[in-house]
Amino acid sequence: MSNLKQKINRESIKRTFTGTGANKVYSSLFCIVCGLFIGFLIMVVLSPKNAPFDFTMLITGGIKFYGLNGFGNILSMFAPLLCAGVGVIFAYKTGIFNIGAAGQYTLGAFGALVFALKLNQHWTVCLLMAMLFGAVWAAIPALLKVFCKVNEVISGIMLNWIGLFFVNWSLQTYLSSIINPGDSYKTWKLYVYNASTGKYDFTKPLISKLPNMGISNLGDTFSIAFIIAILVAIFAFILMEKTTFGFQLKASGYNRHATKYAGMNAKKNCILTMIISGAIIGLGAGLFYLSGIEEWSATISSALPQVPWNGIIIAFIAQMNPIGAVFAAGLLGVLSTGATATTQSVFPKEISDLITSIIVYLSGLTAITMRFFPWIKKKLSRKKVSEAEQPLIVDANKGGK
Amino acid sequence: MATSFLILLTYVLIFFVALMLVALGGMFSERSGIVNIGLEGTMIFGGFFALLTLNGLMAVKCPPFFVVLITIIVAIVSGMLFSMLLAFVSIKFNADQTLIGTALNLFATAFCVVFAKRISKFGTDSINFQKKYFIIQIGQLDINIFLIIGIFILIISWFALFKTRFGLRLRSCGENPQSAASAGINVFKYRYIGVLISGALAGLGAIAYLIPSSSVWNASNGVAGFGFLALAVLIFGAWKPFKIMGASLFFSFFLALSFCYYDFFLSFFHIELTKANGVTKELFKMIPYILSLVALALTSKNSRAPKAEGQPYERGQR
Repeated sequence: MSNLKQKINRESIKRTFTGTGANKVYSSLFCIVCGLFIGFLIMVVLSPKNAPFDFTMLITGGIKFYGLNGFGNILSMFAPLLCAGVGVIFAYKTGIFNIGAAGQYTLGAFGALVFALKLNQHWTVCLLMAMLFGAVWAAIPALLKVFCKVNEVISGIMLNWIGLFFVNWSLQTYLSSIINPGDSYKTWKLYVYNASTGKYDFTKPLISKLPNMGISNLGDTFSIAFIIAILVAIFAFILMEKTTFGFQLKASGYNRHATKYAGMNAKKNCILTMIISGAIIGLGAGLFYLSGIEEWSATISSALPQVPWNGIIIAFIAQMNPIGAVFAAGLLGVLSTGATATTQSVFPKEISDLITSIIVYLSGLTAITMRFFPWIKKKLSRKKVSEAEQPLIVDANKGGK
Repeated sequence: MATSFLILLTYVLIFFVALMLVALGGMFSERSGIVNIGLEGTMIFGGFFALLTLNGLMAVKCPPFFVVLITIIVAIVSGMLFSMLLAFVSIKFNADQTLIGTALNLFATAFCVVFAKRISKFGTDSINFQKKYFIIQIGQLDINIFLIIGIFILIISWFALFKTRFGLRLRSCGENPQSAASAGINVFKYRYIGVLISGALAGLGAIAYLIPSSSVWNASNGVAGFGFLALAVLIFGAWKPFKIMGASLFFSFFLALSFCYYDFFLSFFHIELTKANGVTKELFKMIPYILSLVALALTSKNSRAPKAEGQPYERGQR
């Protein structure tokens, strides 16, 4: 009896480590390790002397340098990254590559900042508005795709830039009161500003700033954001895996025509997916700008924000699994925080973007890496088999003679 | 009045040539069946190495002709090498072309910022350079040499695409690779060639944009979405060389206006356009993207896009 139990246990454990899911994890880990290794080589090229020390700084998220604040920084970077990643994953399940994430994120940031700084609303309202703005911007490519058959990748790219220029135009003209002219056209910080002294009172955050739940020793940017983000990831996971709607989404991702034939409303599903995806990405933008990590800069009109692009990276490292996205976002959070702690004159903070872009380039090769591990296993097992069988063959040959 | 018009014309010509070159590059790639979202990254990468070469050649006092020639060659070669990163994985391993293109864009920006900051003495990401050898002055108008090169390339690409055996085969690989293969065409080879040409023209387009328009380049600004605008030009130009030329002329007008709208409107219409009136350069930069989105919405139902673009070619598939 106990023997059987052991056998079952062993079987199930074996399956956990050898199934398709496990292969996905292995191939992602393989990409991450390779990406980090290439990143390390690039750092060695930049400066052989400092590379080992700064590389450890990078992959530990600069904990040694920042202390507890560093942990808070990682968590506050993690939240928007996770939201962006989950948003991209959600759309990809239906077969839509949401490259317009950057535009939805930009509009989400716009919504959050307008309601925070212009209308002085509570942070919950600001986050809802971020979601709404993101959703509206995501609905445009979906509508164009459904009714005009426009490829969502191309329309997404166009909308990214339209969104960026629209937001920066708005902030420089009719919404110029939320820009701080003294701070090179960045938006105001989320603290009470004393006009007579010209300084912020950092003990008094605005009601639109995300609350830190009474934990003050994790730095200024630490907030409730990471809890919201994890809840969103769980929500997305349940919606995709446990509901009829989620099943329809995935089915239309596998075969659009079959779902149409089976009586599912493909058009409605496509639009709904994009709206949810855009809302999640917009929420990510809200979490980023309302936790005060950075201020929006209205003059840099030539560069889209980096976080949504990292969201695409996270989605592919996580191989389109929201729970995997939690770990991938954690990795990117650690790297991007760690990159600010390295010796900036030798290793600029963009080194983390460099490494993550290499990782995602490699993860584009999942077709190979997914085949790679079963292939190795096959090789190993074949070796064993052939060793076991060899004497028999030899015997048979002898018999023949 | 005349000077503000000349300034506008100079900008229009610069952007026109650069946009046209990059869009023609995109055309070759998409006609062969590979969507090159990585044009932006290819431009950044090619431009970065070309500018470094230019600075190096200026430092050793190389004769002007060789400075121009070698800079152009370096831009083309580095663009081709970079586009190989796309070609290899999307043709050989059937990787998702959009994903790889996105990854390459991110990679190019990060790579160039990191190395520009490392090279620079003050830790900034800007590179200064001199453009005098690339400019020919005719009267008061500055003509850059890329204009001449660009028009040559336009004619050559039209001829190559529609009047030669090579062009027919390339197009067939983008329309229906399986039947092309059944006629004995090596689809992989033509797709590699398509992507390599796009890399070469993107590299050339990068310096056509960067060198005449300024004397300093910030690596973190990259090429300010120029590669994506070229994709818009490509769609607006319906994947045809001369229509692409028209579209780039049209788009470059708005792009040029975004730089000198104030002087232009003041001297021609006596209207002062300022932030107080609700006009900034972003407004003009937005127009090309909105127009191409509208064009997409109107024309996508009977699109002229190559039928098999973005689809990996698999031998056994029907």
